Amino acid sequence: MKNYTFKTNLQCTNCRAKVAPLLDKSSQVKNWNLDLEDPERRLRVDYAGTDPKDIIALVEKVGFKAQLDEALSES
Amino acid sequence: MSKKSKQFPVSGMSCAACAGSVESVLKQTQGVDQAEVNFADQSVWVEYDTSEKDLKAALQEVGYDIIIQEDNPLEEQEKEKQKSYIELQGRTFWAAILTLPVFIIGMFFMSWEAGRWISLVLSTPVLFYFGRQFFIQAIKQARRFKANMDTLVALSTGIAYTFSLFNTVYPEFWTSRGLAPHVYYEAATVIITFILVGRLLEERAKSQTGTALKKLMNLRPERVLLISDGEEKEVKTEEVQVDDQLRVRPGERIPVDGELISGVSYIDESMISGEPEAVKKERGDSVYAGTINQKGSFEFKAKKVGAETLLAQIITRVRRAQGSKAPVQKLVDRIAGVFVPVVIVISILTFVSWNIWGGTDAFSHALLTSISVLVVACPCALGLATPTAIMVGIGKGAENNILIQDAESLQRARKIDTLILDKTGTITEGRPRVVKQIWVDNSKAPKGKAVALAMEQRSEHPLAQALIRRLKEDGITPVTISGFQSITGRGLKAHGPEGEDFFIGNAALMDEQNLSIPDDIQEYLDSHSHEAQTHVFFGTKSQVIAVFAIADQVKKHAAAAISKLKSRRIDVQMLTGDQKGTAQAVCQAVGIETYRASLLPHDKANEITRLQNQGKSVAMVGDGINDSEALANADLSIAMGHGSDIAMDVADITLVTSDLTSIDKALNLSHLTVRGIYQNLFWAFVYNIVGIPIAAGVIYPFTGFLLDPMIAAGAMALSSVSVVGNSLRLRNKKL
Repeated sequence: MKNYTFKTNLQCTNCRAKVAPLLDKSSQVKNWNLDLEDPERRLRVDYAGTDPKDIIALVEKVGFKAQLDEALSES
Repeated sequence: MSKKSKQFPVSGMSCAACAGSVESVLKQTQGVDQAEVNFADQSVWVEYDTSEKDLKAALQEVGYDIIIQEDNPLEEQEKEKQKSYIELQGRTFWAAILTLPVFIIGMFFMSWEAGRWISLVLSTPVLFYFGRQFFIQAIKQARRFKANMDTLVALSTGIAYTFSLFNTVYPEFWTSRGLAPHVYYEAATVIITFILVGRLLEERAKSQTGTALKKLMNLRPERVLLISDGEEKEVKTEEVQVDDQLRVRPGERIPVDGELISGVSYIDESMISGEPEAVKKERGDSVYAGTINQKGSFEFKAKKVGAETLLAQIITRVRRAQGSKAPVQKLVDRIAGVFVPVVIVISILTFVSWNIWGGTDAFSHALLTSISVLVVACPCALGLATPTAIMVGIGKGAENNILIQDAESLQRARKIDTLILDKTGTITEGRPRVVKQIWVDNSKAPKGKAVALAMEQRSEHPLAQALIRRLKEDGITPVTISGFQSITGRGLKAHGPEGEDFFIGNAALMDEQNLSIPDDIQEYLDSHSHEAQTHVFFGTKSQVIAVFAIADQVKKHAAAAISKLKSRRIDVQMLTGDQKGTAQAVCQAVGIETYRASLLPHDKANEITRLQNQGKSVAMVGDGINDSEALANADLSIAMGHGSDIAMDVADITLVTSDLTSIDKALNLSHLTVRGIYQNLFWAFVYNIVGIPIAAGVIYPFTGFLLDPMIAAGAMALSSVSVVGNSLRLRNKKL
């Protein structure tokens, strides 16, 4: 289990509602939270998988962008 | 699929990021080349070569939605229909042009040698190009072992043509055997032409129903004023969502259903209620899509949009009712189903019998007689029986101001046992009028009227128009008044030319101002309290000096027309959107026992379905958009000529003069036409019954007489002439 942080372009609760079902459904994602107050709209995920790119792909699937914030992520 | 590009409204985007999301989701979708979201007007422009449904599904999966307008496919359909109608028109026209010379040659120059070749050249395109649909349909039917009118047409014209072709090219086959070769080109071409004309009439009737739907759809405005953050902007009506705030200006139509939140206005809701008087709307009142804002601008909150609105529901129901109307299987189709196999059997029997008992030349006699049977049986007259009677019937109707849009309705009309009348505009004139004015002191009337007219001209109350009309009819010119004041829900107040006070309004206003009502006015009020009248009082500051009785009057001949219908044992009922009191008064005046009041458009339609379920055959007479649903449901629908275009488009029959006595005439016409059709069928068959045995050679053993060409052609012509003549007889009947 590792903790990853992503910078995203999710802006409002509506955006959150689009990604939420995918994150909730994923068996690898144990816990997640999206901070819309944060200027970088950081998404924090407790991830049991191996490649954080999978999370990025997940966000992109519903049409948004995400970028790994390496400084705040466990490596 | 070819590449298309189109703009769709999108719902569910609340921030710029959502817009980006929609864009990239669409771009990821298979078959989408380009997608650009316009966040400001909540729409997306897409270049794609997949189906619109796929786009919708892709976005729905993520939680957005695009709105696919459904008007377009209908328009396409409309265009298709229009195209096929024009095509049919062309085919009919050219078939008729080519048929005329063939007919003349066949009837008057039978023995002219070259005439056969000319006829051959002219009739070939008539049959196999202009009339090809009959052959195509007949083959389709034959594959399922069925026969209808098309089979009969294809069979008889096909055989007549082939037989004639053979006889034209190789007459020696018969002459060498001592038999006469005949040609029957004219029979073949005349049948094709007449039946094409019949189809054309039918198509024209059908094309009317499409325009009704289109007009209904046009009742919804294209664009609306949306108020967001205190600013107004124009958006497309499809983009309006529930709880949006919208502004409606005077004269505009309401775009969606909703609830008024600020402002006061009068709205013409005749589309829903059928009542011509505009209804006053204040905060909290419901407004409906498609109704017209008369005066005053207001804001309202959208409550129901898109397919949810009352207007959209009316459209859906009209469409469904029109689609579900059981097709009347045509009488001729039914007859053909029996007639075709019978004739074929007789023909085969003839062929077999001749071969067995024919003696010398048995085979050629057998061939000639069996084919003659088929040709003589050719239902030239049978094909004419219905269309000619109906053409004359429709013409006769038009002379009497009865427009018949659907030919089959003429056949249905005579079976009607229940007749539903709408009140406003059907039984009544549909326009409130001043029916009585009482002035306490007649010498004061001219001056009073001038003041009243001046006051009413400034009023926006719906009844004001009725008063203005009447006063102008009386030759009154308004005077200058001052201090005009409108007292909402009560009436008007103003100062006359000499500064004195005047009031116009209802009883409540007179009461408030402590104006006494003189005895003769009170007497009038008491004696007319049961009538559907509205009373407008006119008073000075001390007392009421006049009263105007305003009513939507019952039409002149309504009572007589209804009693005539009743004497036909038709159950006459009234359905209205108006209140019970008024409904009762009107029913009493015209002699209707059964009525239902305060009905919404779909209540009327449901009531008709209910009666139909009891096994009744129901006719509906109405004039408004609010009647269109009921009209579409009824077995026979009759619209009033002064009414809405939509009601007329939906209806089978339109009464141009809006005169109720025409209903009785229309029913009479139906009886006469149907009787004419039956008589025609009789004439068509009589000649067949006599002709077929002769053609089969039944009298040959006794007289040595085999079908003479003169007699065959003569019988055919006679049967057609009898049918046409009988149909024309209808023209001289009095309705």
